[in-house]
Formats: sequence, C-alpha cells, structure tokens
Amino acid sequence: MLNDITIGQYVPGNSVIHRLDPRTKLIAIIPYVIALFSVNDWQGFLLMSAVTLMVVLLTKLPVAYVLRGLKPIIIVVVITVPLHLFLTPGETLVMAGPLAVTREGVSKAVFISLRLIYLVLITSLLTLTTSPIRLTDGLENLLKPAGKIGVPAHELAMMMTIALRFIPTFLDEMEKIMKAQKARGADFESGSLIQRSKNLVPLLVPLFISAFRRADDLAMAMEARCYRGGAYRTKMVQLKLQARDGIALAAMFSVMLVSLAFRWWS
Amino acid sequence: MKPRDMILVGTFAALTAVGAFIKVPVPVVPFTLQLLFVLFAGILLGSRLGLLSQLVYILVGLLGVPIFANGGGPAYVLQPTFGYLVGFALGAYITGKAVEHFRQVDFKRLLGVNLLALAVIYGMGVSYLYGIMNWVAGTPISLADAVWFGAIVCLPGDFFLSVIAAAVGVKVRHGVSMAVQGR
Repeated sequence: MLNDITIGQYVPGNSVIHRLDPRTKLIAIIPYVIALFSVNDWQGFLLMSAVTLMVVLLTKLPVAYVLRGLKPIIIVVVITVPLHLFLTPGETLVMAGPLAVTREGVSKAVFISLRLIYLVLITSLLTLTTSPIRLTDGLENLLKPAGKIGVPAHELAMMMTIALRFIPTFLDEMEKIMKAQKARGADFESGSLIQRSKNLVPLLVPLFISAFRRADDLAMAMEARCYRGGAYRTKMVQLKLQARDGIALAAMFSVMLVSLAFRWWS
Repeated sequence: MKPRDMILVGTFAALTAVGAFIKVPVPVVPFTLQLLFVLFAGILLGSRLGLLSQLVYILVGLLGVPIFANGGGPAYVLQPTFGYLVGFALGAYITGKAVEHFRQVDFKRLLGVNLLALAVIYGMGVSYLYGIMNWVAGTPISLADAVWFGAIVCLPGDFFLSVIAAAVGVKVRHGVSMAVQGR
C-alpha cells in the first residue's frame, strides 16, 4: 500500500508519451478538451476517438491500467445513458415497452458518454505517464509567469514536494503507532461512535508529535544550508523542450483546428 | 516565504492526507478524520498558511496521488464529493482568520468558529454534490436529499471532531503558535 501511494497512479515506462516534457503534456490537454467539446456530430467523434486511441497506443500502457482510470465515472455513464436514450424527443427508432428510443436520443447518449469518458481518459493518461514530481516541476515552470501577480510558483511546488515526501512517512508512522497501541490493548474497532473517536486520541497525539518533530528537523536542515526559495535557485534536472514536444503540441493544436472547422461547416 | 512556514504547510497537507486514511467504520457513512486536520491547520497555522496547506493537499491529490477519500487524479473534480475538498480550503481559512482576530481564545469561541467552518464546508459540499448530480451526471436529486446525505448524516461525527479540535486547540495553540511563528 505504501509504495502505491508514493508513485500514485504513475506507471514507469519509456514510451514517447512518457518522455514528453511535463509542460507539453499539461498544455496539450487544453486544445484536446476544446476539440472534444466543440465536435458534435459522428465524424467529429470519429476523429476524437482516433486521436484518443492513438495517444493510448503511444503510451504502451497495459489496457487494464488505462481502463482502471475510468472507474470513477463508470457509474455516472451507466446512469446517464438510459436517461438520454429514452427521454430525448425525436424520431422513434425502437419501442422498448412504453419507452421510445429516438435517433436523437441515441446520438445524444453516445456523444455525452464519449465526451465524459475521453475527458477522464486523457487526464488519467497524464498522471499515468508522468510522475508527481515531474508534474510538480512542470507546474512550477508554467506558473512562473504568474509570479508577477503574486502566485508563489516555486514555493507552491516546494510545498507540494514536501507534502509528497511526508505522506508515505506519516502513513508508515501511523501504522506503526497503531500496531504499538494495539499491542498495549488499544481498541480501534468496537464501541460507540464517541468511544471509537476517543480511542483515536492515543493514535493522534504521537502522530502529531512525530510530525512536528520531523517538520522541525527538516526546517533546521534547510535553514542550515541557507535555503531560500525563488529567483536565484538553480536546478539539478532542467526541463528542456525537445523536437517531439513541438510535434506533439502541433498535432494537438491541429486536431483542435480541424474539429473547430468541422463545427463551423456543419 | 520562510522555509519553516513552507515545511509546516507541507506537513499539514500530508497530515490531512493521512486523515483521509483513518476511517472510522460507522454503519451508514464512514467518516474520516480529515476535518480534524483541516481545523487544526486553521487554528495552528493561521488563515494564510492554513489555506495554503489545504490547496497543496488538493493539488497533490489532483496530480494523481491517491490521497483523497476515494483515490485521486484530475478526474476527481467530477466526483460529487469534490466540493468538500474546496470547502476544506475555505474552512481552514475561516478558522484561521477568526482565531487571528480573537484577543483571547477559549473553548467556546473556538467551538463556535469550528462549527462556522463546518457549516461552510457543508455548504460547499452540498451545493457541489447537488450541481454534479443534476447537471453533470444528469441524475436529478432533490435539494432535500442532497442536504440529508451530504450534511445531516455526517453531522454527529463531524460535530464530535469539532469539539475535539476546539478542546485540543485551546491547549495546544499557545505552545505551537510560538514554535510555528518563532516569535
């Protein structure tokens, strides 16, 4: 469980998509989403399906992983499809008992669920192919211009990195404390709500103490090394845009233009 | 920003994440300890850092680390319960702001502030739940249902957490805020 948390959804790999600059991936989502929401006919969705399929294939991820990302919206899709199918007025195709399935209903149901599925799919591909650390790095870079209006890009990224570093440590610690208290007779699983919440106190107090101690140690270590964030810091790993980043962005923006053209003509 | 502040923000973001993993198995709705850490973030760190700690928590979760009650990833924005996370950020801010304004902090005032923050969190959570169910999922539910499942059902547990946060907060605040602010 703990290793799972550290890398999150990220699946290490060496595909073209994995090697893309995190900034490219973050930006490329924008034209994709615009394209996805501008198409509204069968040709348009065929184009988006082809694009999505191509990106999925390029990641070389096992299909099971990709589909797992769809779990949160599967229920939503299952509930909405029949609603659109039966409740959209229009030309009747089939009668299912007292309910009529209309041509408009079919296309509306398919379009809306495809839109939702692709949206979730492409965003989950982002987190599947990029480690949280690299994403944080990319985010910091993209937010840099916003520093002029007071967004602390570097500080935000640093705080995210610290949180990322601490989460598995604290979880580990909590598990240890829980076992230690259980060995001393603590009971976390029975009793009334109030009793159970009270039983959490011997868990929380040591957790807090250890969290503050770790925070203090880290603060001391950073101050001792004269850490100060922002402008004059250099980086060990520099983000550099490659030719493939240009190609990926150009491809996504042309998909957007094509889909906008589709919409314009139909 | 001082390194010490940044580290505290990161620490509280991580603690809130851990809070999501401590689930107390209650029959209807399992309730987590996130609220406790949200309130502590406000009480101990103050408005600005408290708010930042919750924003960092949300951002790290959206980046795909499964630290929300039901996982993580950018698609979590579409989950009906995402509103509570936004509420957490506001709740921490309000708690911090109020505590900064008090000349002296006692249990009753702190509890009042915590309940105010809880009301804001529920407000955000319920309206988001209602919005997602009606306009995104296309599964209309009545406002009464949204309030029932989104707030009333979890109220006893969360009320209890607010009491704990107030009781502990009064005792801890003085010592911790001296250490936190180094003043």
